[in-house]
Amino acid sequence: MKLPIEWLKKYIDVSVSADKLSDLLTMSGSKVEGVEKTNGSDVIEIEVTTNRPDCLSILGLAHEISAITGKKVKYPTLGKTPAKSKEAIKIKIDDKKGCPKYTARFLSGVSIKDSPVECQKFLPLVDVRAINNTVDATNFVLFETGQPLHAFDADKLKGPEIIVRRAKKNEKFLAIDGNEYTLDEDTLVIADAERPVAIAGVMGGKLTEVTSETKNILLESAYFDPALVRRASKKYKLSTDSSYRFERSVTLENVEQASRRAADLILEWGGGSETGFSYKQTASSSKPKSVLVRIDSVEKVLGVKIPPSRIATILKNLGFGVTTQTNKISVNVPPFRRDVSQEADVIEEILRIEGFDKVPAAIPTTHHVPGSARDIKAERVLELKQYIAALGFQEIITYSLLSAKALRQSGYGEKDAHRLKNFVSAEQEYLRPSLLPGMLGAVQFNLNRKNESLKFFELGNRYVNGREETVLSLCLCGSFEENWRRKEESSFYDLKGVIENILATSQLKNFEWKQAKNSPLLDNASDIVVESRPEGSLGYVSKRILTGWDIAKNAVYAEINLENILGYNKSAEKVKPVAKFPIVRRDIAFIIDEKVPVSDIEKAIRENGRPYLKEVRLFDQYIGKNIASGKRSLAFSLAYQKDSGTFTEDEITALQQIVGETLKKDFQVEFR
Amino acid sequence: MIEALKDLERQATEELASVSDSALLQELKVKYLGRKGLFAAVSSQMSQVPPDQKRLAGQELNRVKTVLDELFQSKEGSLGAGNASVKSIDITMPGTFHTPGRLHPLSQVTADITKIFARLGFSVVQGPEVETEYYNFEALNIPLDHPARDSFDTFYLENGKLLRSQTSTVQIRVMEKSKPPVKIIAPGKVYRPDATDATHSFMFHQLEGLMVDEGVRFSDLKGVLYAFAQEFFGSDTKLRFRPHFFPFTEPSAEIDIWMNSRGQWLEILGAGMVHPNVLRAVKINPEKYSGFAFGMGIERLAMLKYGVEDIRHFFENDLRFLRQF
Repeated sequence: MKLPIEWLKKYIDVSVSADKLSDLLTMSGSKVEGVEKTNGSDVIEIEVTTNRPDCLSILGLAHEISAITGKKVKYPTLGKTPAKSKEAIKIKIDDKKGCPKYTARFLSGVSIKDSPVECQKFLPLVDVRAINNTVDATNFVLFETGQPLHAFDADKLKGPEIIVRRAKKNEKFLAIDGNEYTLDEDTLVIADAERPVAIAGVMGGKLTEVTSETKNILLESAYFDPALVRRASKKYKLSTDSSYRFERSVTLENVEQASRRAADLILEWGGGSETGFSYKQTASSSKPKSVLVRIDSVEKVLGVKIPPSRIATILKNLGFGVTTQTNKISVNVPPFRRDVSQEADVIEEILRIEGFDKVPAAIPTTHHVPGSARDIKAERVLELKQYIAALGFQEIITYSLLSAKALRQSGYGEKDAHRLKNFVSAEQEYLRPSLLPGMLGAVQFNLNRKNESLKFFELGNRYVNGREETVLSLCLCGSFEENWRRKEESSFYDLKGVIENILATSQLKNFEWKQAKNSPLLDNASDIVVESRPEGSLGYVSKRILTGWDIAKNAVYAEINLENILGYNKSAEKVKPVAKFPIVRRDIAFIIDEKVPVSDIEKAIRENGRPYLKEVRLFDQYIGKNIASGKRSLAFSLAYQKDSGTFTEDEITALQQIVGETLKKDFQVEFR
Repeated sequence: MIEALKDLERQATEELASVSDSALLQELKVKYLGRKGLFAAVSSQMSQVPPDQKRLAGQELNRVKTVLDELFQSKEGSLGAGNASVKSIDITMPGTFHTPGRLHPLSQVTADITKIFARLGFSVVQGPEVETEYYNFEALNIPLDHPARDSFDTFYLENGKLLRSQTSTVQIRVMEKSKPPVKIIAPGKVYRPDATDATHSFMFHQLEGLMVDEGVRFSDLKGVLYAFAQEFFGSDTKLRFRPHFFPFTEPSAEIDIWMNSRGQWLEILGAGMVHPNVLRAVKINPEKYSGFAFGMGIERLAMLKYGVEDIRHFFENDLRFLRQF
């Protein structure tokens, strides 16, 4: 809302500078966005919040300023509607909820010409073009009072009555902006006998507009349902000074006065006479609302004591009716303050005038709150992120919304993801079903900028089949280690080790790796099974996908559902006594068919080493020279321990022998 | 042999005493303890020792070896020569342990804020990003077809759900589940169909705070936000509380911070006393309980704190940017 100081001064004395006034307005809730000079006068730009449509007018703001400064508002003197005014036109309201009140005034013999110099000077200050005395008068009153008005050329209206009705399906309407709109049945229109002449509260029609030839005027002032105006304004993408005010609600009680004021100006500026007035109200004016404010509530809510007399003064200055009773104040809310309906609303009014700076800063007395609202998952997120970062991974945050292209390029079909109804750009069409597309985007972005050796992780939500899940994605691309002592390309096994660490730090011991059946996204993929539930997968991003993203290096990727993992209940386990007797380590190395999984071998060793075998650890794999193709050489380290006593050399040899025999029998291994 | 060992010990002790130069010391060490040195020569005679003397000879051999080792070691120490492996270290070569990664700057800022509020007794909770009309609007006192919704432009999914346009949804979810007292903060992503530019993003992060208890006052809100701002931005931070309108709080405030570098007030927070209608919606008696709520934009705070000029930097994930935090 633009507030030209010069225009404002017609209604209230303003002795302070524009900057000081801006400060006063801002600190009482009408936030000033800036002060600019237009044609030599100061114009204050104010952000008017949606609860205060009464401040969308210069008189409304004058009233606010009056409440802050104590200066009185000088309202314009209104003329009198001729006592024996005949009916201007018959008004028929079909949609009573859509239009609770409609007034029409008939002004005849008006000569259309330029409006006075002052009006022509003021209108551009609020970004309105001066057109002619009649249209300018309606606009002037709109900004003065906040009530939008419309002037029809009465001679162009067909038929004996004005009808307020819903548009017919596909009914055509030519608006003042020169565009033809095809209307629907949710649109409220003003119509004559033949056609709509205005979209109610939004815009008038081209065919009935006031032109230089106009002689007789029908002046409309009405109240239209805010929701209907809002819907029409959105539907036809027509936001006007009028619709902006109607959708925030005008003041029912102001409809007639604004019409009176506009008629006064039109007759003053264009001559002619008022020859008729029609009035139809389908809803009774609501009674002034009364709110009871308990004096001690003010202090209870705000934490500051404001004397009852001061409270009464503030409320009176704001236009509220005040009746002081014992320990409470009965407050009558003026009709233009529809936003005030309960005690809390009145308390806010008191505070914003008294000043937010009057409230001291305290610290709540309840410090520790017992844990019903605790969210263990949320609390662990930060811990987990810090752990993964310490393992060498950089956290990234990518957009949760994806383009169809990014989705397809990552191996997902459009059916795999939920689509947005009202995305603004093609980059935001789908909600991500996986963190893979975002990860690949970040990898590509960095490789293109010669940032190599990438270790990334992201912790965020994905949305699959209507389920939102917090997941962790991890990616290795380029070297895993690269320094003057060690150089190692990233591999599946590196990321597997990282994940094992992550699961271990979450105290999860019961997890397995299972060959993934058919993963379209990952090659050599493994499922991660935690507590018997498949929770994620790990593998090399398939060549086809990498090619799509122009990524020339291998990328190892894993995505793990954290819903259960983060929520895993770590119960404190009692510590086990450290074994008293020495542990004995023995190695066993052999050549075996490369298809036999290490986990099978490990399992066989464990079963046969009972009860003394405590650890089995693969420490070497060799494939190549001196090993037949299709075979590999594996070396395990085994550790035996007794609960009481030590082993003799013979006992250990015997234990190793059992293990060796089994491996020979079950897997046909060859010992080296 | 025992005699030979004792001679060797005497001779070495004498020679060592006169050495004052580390190069000489090394020569001497080779002479006595080298692979073909005097000690090796003497010990090779072990095989010729008669069996009955073997035990004694062995003991003497070990003793003399220990003595010689210690002699050379202490001499090396006093000459500052260091041993062979230490000598080959170039302390200016880079260390070879892997470089740790870092948290994303937005996570770091979230963590900083969370820590401050944790000390004020607030615990961290989360809520879903895919939400319903009820949690995003209705329960928050934002009616359908109301212009108040313009401030909360929202993405809708084809399945009828929506992407939350504010973290205030979590207020409702928490209050439905837990009876007062409640003290929580809820960081998370929110979405708005805004055109993207240097200061706007269709996805960004907010942090919501809520306290509900008996006798919570506007002054408590002020105290908590001052404590936060002065810890986050510095103890000389100045705040300004301005009346504003949010459908879910009453009174409502916007809070500005004074930026000395720019010579102006900048908005950083929205806050207010929880609206009685919101309390009623979650069946908390507003006569008995009151509360405050606040919300802040993480990107905005991060941009102010670190001087980031463009919000899009946060989502490009350029390592050259991320490694600076």
